[in-house]
Amino acid sequence: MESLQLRVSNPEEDYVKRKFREYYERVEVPAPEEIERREWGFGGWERKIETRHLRIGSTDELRSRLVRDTPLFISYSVAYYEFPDMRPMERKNWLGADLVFDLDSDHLELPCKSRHGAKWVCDECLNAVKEESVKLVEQFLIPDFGFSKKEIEMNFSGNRGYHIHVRDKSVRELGAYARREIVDYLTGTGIDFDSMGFEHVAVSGRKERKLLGPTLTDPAWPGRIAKLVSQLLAEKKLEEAGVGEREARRIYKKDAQFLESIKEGKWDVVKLENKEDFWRNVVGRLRVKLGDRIDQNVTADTGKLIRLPESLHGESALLARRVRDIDKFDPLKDAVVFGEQPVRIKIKKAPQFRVGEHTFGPFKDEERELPEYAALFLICKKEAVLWKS
Amino acid sequence: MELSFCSKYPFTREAKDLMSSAKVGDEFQLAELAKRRVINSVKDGRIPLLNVELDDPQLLLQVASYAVSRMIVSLLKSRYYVNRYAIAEAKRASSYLERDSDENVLHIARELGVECEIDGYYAVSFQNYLRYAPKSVDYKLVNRKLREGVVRLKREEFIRLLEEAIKMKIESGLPLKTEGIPDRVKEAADAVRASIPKEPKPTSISLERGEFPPCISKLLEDLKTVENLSHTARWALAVYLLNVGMKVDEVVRLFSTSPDFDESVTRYQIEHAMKRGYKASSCASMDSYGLCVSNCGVKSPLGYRRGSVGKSAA
Repeated sequence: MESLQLRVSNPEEDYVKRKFREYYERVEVPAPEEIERREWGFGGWERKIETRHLRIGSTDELRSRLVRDTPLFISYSVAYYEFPDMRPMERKNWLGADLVFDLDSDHLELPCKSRHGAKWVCDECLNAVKEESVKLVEQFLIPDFGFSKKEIEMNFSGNRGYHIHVRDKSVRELGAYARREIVDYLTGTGIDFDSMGFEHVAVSGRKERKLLGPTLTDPAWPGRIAKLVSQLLAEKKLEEAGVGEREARRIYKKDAQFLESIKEGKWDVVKLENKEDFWRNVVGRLRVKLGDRIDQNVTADTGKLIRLPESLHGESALLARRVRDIDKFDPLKDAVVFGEQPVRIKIKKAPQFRVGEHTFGPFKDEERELPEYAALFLICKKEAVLWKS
Repeated sequence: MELSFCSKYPFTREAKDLMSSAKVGDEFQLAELAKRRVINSVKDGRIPLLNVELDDPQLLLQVASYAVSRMIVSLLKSRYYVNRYAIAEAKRASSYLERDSDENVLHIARELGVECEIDGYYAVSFQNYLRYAPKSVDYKLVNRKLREGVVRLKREEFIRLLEEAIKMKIESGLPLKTEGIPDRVKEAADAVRASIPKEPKPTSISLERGEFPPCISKLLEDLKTVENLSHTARWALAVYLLNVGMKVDEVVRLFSTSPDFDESVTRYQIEHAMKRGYKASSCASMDSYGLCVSNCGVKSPLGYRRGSVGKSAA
């Protein structure tokens, strides 16, 4: 782990804490709905949650704790409790919980990860996780689940992704099983070919049975599948969905005719030589990538703690900013709250990275003077220490 | 509301209103009917339907016997019996719903707080769907056409949802306070206790930490806390236990603590699994059933060994 030396003197922790405190003195962090019913967790230099089972009674108390205790991470329960500070969990008396989704670029297994590792982010992964978040909201939560835009809040996690909160009161009482079902819906887990409108039907006078399938106007998963396959056909990319090359070429020769028949739900034109491959590929492209089973617990676990929107993230010194317009949102710029004032640091190792308007690095064992926000970024990543000449 | 409606659905407000003013004549017959209701529920898992036309006093007795049977169940002081009783009452009601008019079906739905619109299908909100749909593969939300928050169901599927809602409603109203229950009902409860099977004790399967993989431990724990596991969960658990060498009888006994336990069905399925030599689900399958709870770094729960260390489920 980090050197013992850090634990003993730890000027970096003191420095980050001081800077965070100055920020919280300057800016008021909005409290979540029903603040007094939430459990709170505070984190520090070593761990994201060091103490939990805390209760904060009011907006004023939240403000004073941020200024006085200045946790480097602050999170609150998605759940509402009668007694949020009681333990064990059963005694808190669970009253309900918001529905929250955690989208992390680390879950997307992008090629850039092998370049910069899980500790760092780049525009590539942040754009990908943004697209995934938009997909979740605009292709699933709104059309399928029927939530309205104003019930859905999106905020930058402060590090590698986005948290999406659904505040609709009708979801509060959903239990862990129901939430797991919602996750399975979004990730296409347990999706069944035959339930998507695919059906082999006998045709008189023909030996082979013909395959009927979903149409473009179908709702939910069946419609999505029909749309994707039509799109791949139009773009001549059917191979990506597991259709054999020769078969694909045959289809492309008469693509207009095939497009028309899929529109009407006639699927036997697409010979699915390897149905399982096709299915895995198609579902794999359409599903929301919420990470593995454990990552998905953010949604399924009704006692989870989640980052407080508009609070600072102790691994980046960026703000977990609430997003107003996702298309225009640039986390590496819009979540920067610290200033330009130069700070001298000694950097252990950092790949090239962008914060704010500028790109920095790569660095290796060197002393530098960087703007405060970039210096804090590296110190929080534990790849730099303060340097006094 | 008519008397026959109340006798089919004695948990409704209408039946309650009726009972608050009605006077039942035959106390002996009432106690007998109530006893049968509880005994049938606990022993057989269902309450037989009446196929004969009853006259009004008989119908009234039926409604009243529901009220008395709830007192009896409360006196048995067991969550297991309460659960089993609620399941049987719900099954009885849903059998009536199946052949009842849409008007009555919707009426019951409304009383249970399940809003529904009929447009060829029975359209319910996904929230109600997830609350009341059976926890089985057939009812997975991902395989339903979900549009604007609404799931559209066939009639029998909708009634299956109502059955669960009825079960939950009856269960949540029990046990009643037992002070002030008349002596003759207490005597009836004693008679019932003497003629029903004893509440099954959890089998002494040692649940030492690390002996089973986390997913299997979780299923065993769920089984102990008298929850009704989904079909998929039971199947996965049973096949795993058979694979690690447990005997059919032992596995059957393990499941006997489930309130909706039906020995013949369970035994048939477990013997079937044994005969066919089914292999325990892989981790990938466990994951897709939603039963995986940890990342152990193995490919199958069978590959998990004591002390094997993986990514923790933090």
